[in-house]
Amino acid sequence: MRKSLGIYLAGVFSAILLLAVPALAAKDTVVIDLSNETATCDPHMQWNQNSYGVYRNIFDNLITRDNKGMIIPAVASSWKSLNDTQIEFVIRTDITFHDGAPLTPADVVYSIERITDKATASPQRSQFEAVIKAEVTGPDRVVFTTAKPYPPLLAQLVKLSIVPKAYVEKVGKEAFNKAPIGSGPYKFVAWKRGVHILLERNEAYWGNKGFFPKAEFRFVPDPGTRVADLRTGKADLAVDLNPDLAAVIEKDAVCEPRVTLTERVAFLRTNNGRAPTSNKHIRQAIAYGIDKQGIIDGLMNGQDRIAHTMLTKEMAGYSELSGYPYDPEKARALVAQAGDAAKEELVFATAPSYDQRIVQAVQQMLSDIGLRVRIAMMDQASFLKAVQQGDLAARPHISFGRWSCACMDADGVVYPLLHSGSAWSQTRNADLDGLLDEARICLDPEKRVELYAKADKIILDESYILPLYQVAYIYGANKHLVWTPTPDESLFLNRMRWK
Amino acid sequence: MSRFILKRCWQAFIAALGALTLLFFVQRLTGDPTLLLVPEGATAEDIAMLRASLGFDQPLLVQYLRYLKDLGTFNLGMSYVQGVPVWDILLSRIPYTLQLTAGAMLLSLGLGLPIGVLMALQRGTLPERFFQAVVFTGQSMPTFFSGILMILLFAVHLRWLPASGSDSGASLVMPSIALGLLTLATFARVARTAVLDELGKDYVRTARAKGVPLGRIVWRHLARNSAIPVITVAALEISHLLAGAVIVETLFAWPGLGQVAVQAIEARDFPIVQAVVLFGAVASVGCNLIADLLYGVVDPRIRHTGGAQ
Repeated sequence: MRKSLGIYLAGVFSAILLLAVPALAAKDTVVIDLSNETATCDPHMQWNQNSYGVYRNIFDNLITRDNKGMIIPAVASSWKSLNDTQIEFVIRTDITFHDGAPLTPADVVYSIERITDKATASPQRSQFEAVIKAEVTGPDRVVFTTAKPYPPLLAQLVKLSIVPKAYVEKVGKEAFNKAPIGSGPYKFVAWKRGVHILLERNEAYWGNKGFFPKAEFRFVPDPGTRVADLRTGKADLAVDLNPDLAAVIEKDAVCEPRVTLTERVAFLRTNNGRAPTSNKHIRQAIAYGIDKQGIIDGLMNGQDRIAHTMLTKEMAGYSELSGYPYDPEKARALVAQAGDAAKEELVFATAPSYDQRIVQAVQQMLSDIGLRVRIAMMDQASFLKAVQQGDLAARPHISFGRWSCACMDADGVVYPLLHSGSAWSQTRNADLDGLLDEARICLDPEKRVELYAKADKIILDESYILPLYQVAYIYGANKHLVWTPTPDESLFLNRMRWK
Repeated sequence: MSRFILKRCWQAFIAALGALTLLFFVQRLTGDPTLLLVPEGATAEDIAMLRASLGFDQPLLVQYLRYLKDLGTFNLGMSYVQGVPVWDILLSRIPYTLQLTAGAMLLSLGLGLPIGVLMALQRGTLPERFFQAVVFTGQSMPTFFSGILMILLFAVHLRWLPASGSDSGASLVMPSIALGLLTLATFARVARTAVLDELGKDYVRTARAKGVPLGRIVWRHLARNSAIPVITVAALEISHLLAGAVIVETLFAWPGLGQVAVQAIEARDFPIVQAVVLFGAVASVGCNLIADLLYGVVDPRIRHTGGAQ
């Protein structure tokens, strides 16, 4: 009896194994765990990482970036400047949308006008409003006009997704969001609210076709659960892991961490319009008093890179400068020099999305040099409001931040953060404003680098802002998945393979 | 009876309206979601434009009256973040919440009650001590902790159950246990106390003296008489389950209302938060009403007439 039961069970299990083997061999769906539900699949109606990863596979952009971050042709096969404020794009004529309609220059013009039109209320408007006119100038030609010379134009247009004019106008915004049609390497199949989005390969794609016939983007908010999905083979790729979880899968048999340095820089914003951080000595003391490498090695597993300016190597306008070394003695001396001003309590604003261990480490380091710091934790929306609205005198003394303009250009970083005309800036310096204004319209790349170097020099001397580290982004991936993460945090399915 | 129900519904309506009004103003007092929707570095003009398109440039009172008017026509509004009607989101999430709540309730009633009865009957013995330890553990372990332990054991090491998702019945097992554990402990405790109370009463002693078997006493007499506290607790526990779902659903990526509530609160997607609170209010009031009606069924001495209870 016992023996026959054993034979029976062995038979059942081998049958299951036989069923399982072919399933492993033919991998037809790539499964990606996102950290939250996609906001919308309408590429113009949000600014959201978990949407970008999905919709960029459904839509083609005017131009795009390769894995190294270089701008390369996409819907536009080439482009040339007509003069300082006009640029002409040659539009490919062999692209069709998923409904079979051809992609035309009129769709390109419609796409940018849809965003810049105030009636659309697109959150992305600030990225494209430099373009004041877009017109079709030939069967495969489009000309964009800017009000002033605008060097980051191409970097911004990398984010311009092309939508089908006829379809969007016919069905309207809401229906387009529910059943988006693009021209990208994958087609939209279904969206089960709260669960997943399914895509299938566009067999008629004009460019690099995807390897996987199907793709599933799942919404898994807990990072620990995303790791469990990777380890059990339920997911092939998971976004947004922390260094501790990366260490968990370091030696796993199935999956591994994949790390890339992004264009995002973590920093401390010091309020230059409120005492005592309006005092240069205090700001410099803060800069000398923070052990950036200690934070990276001790808390971030050594994966992030120390930052001396707000610009990273990959950005246009970058030049190498060295910042303040860690020197607590010097910091203490500067605090002493500031006298009574240094005794006032500093409010250090932060939000839950930032790593609180770093915030606490900074607080500790600042108390070690003799400053009194109180952490003010608020939710993300209140935090953003506190740091960019109202009088400088009412904003926190110090705030944590992680900045990315998603454009890999100095203008998208230094201008909004430090120009006195920007709501996000807590700096008022006319010389700096002049340099940033000049760099913003300077079309000579070498001259631009020079201008930003001068600006960076002022920022460093005055210690207007304290860059901490270039942020590393940690993905977890199945070892069979051939895919390299990129600095712009993209998830292109047609750049993934299975081995 | 019908007057009683009407009165209860009216009370529920007032309570729900009060909760929603409070929520409406508290949410808006702390700011709006505009800054979360725009890219870093967006100009003040673009931020103001988006704020106006969402209606936040209007005086608070105007926004409130508009909200009430929409509510009156069962229009829950559009999600600020997703750009789809809130009804769509609510209706797609409710089935999952009901499934999970039912799973957790089934587990906690199905195991909690017998354990409680057993503990009462076996008072002072080794089995009681064992179950007491189980109940104690269930009651003192937070769901995020027990949930993670279960994922490690059953998903990662044993590979019996999926760590996340909602695509099969197996996906429901761990979330139900994680969510139901505390409620199970509560039921066991309540059942134990209720049965112990009854065990000391004369009719039980008489029945035992007459030689009625214990099992029959439990089923025929004790169960019904101990039911009232259990029903009261069950109604209250449903609200606890809805609240506990917030953590469990996030942990197991279970697409119910708890998960969507957390995400909506973080994103300040007010219309969704308001709809979830409305659902929660209706659900808990409804459950309490059902409990009130059940009292009458279980115990004929309780009558719902003319508002007197």
